[in-house]
Amino acid sequence: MGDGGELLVPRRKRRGRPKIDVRQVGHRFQQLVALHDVNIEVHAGEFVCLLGPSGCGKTTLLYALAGLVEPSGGRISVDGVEVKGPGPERLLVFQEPALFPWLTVRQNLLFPLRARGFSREEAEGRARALIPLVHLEGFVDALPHQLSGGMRMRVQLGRALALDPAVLLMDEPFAALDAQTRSHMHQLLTRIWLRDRKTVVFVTHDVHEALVLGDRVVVMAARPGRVLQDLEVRLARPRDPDDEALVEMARRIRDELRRAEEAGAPAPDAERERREREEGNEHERVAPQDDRRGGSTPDLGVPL
Amino acid sequence: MAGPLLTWAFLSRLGPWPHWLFPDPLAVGRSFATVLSDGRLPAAVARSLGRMVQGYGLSLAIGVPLGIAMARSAVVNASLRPLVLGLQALPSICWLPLAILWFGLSEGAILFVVVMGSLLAIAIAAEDAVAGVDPVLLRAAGTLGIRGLRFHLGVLLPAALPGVLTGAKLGWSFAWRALMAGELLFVAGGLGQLLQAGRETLDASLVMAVMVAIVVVGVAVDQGLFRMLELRVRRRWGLVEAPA
Amino acid sequence: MRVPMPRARALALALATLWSASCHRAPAEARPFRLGFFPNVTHAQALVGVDDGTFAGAIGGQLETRMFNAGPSAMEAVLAGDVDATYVGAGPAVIAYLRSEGRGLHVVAGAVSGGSVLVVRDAATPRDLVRKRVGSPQYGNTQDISLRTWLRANGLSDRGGERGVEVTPLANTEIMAMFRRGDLAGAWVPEPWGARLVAEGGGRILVDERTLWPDGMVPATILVVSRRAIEHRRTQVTALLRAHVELTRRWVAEPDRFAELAHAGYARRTGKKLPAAVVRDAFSRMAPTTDPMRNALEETARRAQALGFAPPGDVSGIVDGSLLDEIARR
Repeated sequence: MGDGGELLVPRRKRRGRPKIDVRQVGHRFQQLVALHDVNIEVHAGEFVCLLGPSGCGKTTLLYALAGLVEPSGGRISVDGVEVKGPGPERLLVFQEPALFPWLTVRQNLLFPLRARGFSREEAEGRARALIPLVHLEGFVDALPHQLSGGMRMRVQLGRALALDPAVLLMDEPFAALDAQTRSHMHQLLTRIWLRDRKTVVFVTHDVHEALVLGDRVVVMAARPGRVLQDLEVRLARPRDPDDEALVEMARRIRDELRRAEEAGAPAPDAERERREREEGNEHERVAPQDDRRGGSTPDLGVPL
Repeated sequence: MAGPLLTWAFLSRLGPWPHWLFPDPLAVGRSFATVLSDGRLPAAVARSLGRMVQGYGLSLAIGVPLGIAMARSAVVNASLRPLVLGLQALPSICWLPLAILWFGLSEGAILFVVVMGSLLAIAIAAEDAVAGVDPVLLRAAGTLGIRGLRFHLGVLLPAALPGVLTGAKLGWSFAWRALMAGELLFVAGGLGQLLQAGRETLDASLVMAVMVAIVVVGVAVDQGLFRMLELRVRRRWGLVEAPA
Repeated sequence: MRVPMPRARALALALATLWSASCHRAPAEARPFRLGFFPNVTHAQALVGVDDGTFAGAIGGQLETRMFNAGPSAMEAVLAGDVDATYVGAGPAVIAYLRSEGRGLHVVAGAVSGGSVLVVRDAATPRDLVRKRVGSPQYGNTQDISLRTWLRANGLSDRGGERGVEVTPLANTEIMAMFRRGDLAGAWVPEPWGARLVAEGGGRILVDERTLWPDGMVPATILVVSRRAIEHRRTQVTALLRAHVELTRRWVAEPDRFAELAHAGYARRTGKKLPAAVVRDAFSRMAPTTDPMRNALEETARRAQALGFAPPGDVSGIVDGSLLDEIARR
């Protein structure tokens, strides 16, 4: 299987105007530098994962893309137009199901469509078409609280897809699900993406998830929030989460993150928090750090 | 129920007042039956409830939007909230003099007292409920492009409904009390007036019978209507487990 | 229904507190004699006697007075032991007598007959008042009973509705204000309010109550004494009654002079001086008397019972004529 070096390479610049262009974006919360000089290009149809520990600014960046946060510096544009607020071409999917609890599954799908001005027939048609795609047959008249966590997430996904946005912005949507459900969601999302080829920006702190889903993994670090590396994942889909190459790539990225954090001398409590999170995460339970792979850094392209 | 009734009967016989000033439960029951059968009690209940529909309806119609505005607009909040909180501390009876000065001895005066007695509590509860709405829902509505009236009526209000309903229930009991005070303003029918009639004909058993009726109607609406509504909303919203 | 213990206990505690609190009343004899009346010229003897010191002189200086707007509140005070005697209309007196099962009070003398009228804005017949509002001084007072009885005798309901009149008890000053604004189609009032509604409100007298009673004996004002006072303060009650008889004699002897004095007392208390013509008009429909008007009281009781204002019972014992007889014998 090799060390996966040729499967995970620094991103090469593409030609043409990117769908999303993040230029020298910085953001501050009072003293804290949440984002520092972030530059990312996302082309139409790309599935980009923003990966990093908590505090790296990935969620802030996503909200800035959604237009819910205005960055204090730099410029974000979609199709060449600067983002000034939420827009119909960009849709945010939350970690929480964020469903309207008083509406049934069907009504949750219909309500935003009607709000966007679709006729009743058209909205009904779209909802009907989406129900099987997100495996909700038989649950259209159920209320959100009657559904499992995975089903709720599928409703949210369906609600987002029904609106057919050009860009899906996903904020750790599967982080609260159990491992098995999350794995099913990965398969579902992959299938849908392969079908529609939407532009997706997907925020996660789970290295494994990023590698299973993304065309690209933008690795970010905290204090200040910045982009460490922008990597292309050259693995065929659908991807097997237990694929050795994938596991190996995950290990390398994790090492990278660890080194970045040590170099950045994070506060001890943040370090402990990170360890606890990793220990609690099945996917990240990896072998102790291997010094041999210290030399593999150049493979990842961008120097620290 | 037997314990208090016996105590009551015992006190009416042995208490400091003659039994015609402190009648026993039986006499009150007879009075109740009398006003029930001669139509005075049903007419009074109908009149009072009719006023509640108007006055309390008005309170809801003003109070809920006011609460939403206070929760959503910093300007409205800064300018109105201290006033609303301050006036909320006033017992509704304090509005009687102004009611008479502004509206004379009219239905308007009674409705004014009812509205002032319940409006502010409803507004404050609505404000709390709206402020407590899960921010994720608001963000979801934003990203889904739900705006304007559809946002307020379709997202904000339903999301706050359990809390708004609790306030509405509280507002009802305030309105009911205010109405009883307002109906003493002048003779215009209603339970408050029947109570006053009992007093003016020195009929303590009628007074007590009407008090029983006031409690019964108040509790019936509170426990019947509002409890049912609250339960339904809480079930639908998934705040309590629906029975399997 | 199961009542949680704490609630039952709290109730019992509250009742016990009330009970013990009401046990500490000062002995009646230590207090001055307290006399009630209304600031109406139908209470002429009271107005004159209080102002010129007739009562105080008779009772011996220890006199306190209290004013009421209408009978029911005066009767509450009598039954609660807050006044010893009061001038009042027949209606509240019989209601209080029946309510207390004859134990609360007695009528010791009459005071004024007549002085009770229905003034209307433009109604010519009872039917013209249908679906309109008509005022009375207080729910269950003498004029209120007269008005309701009269409406029913004319086939009308006194509870509003399609075939009825909305009887609206109001303070006399309110009646005047609302009548003038046109918010009342009429009002059944004691004098001088009848004369004032005519003179100041542009009203017309539709019913002079003297026409509705045998011999024109309308029990408008009587003198009521609490049973407690009759039992424990008989000397003072007799003195009060003697003063009342003397005042009534003065009224009969010099009606114009007495009317003038009564008017002065009225004007002082209400802050409203009336034109001489209005005073004359008011007094023209009133006659002084000491007769307790036993038959009229019994008729009043029947009416109050028919209206549901008074419980069933017999008022044959309401008049205590023994005091009046005592005075007459001297």
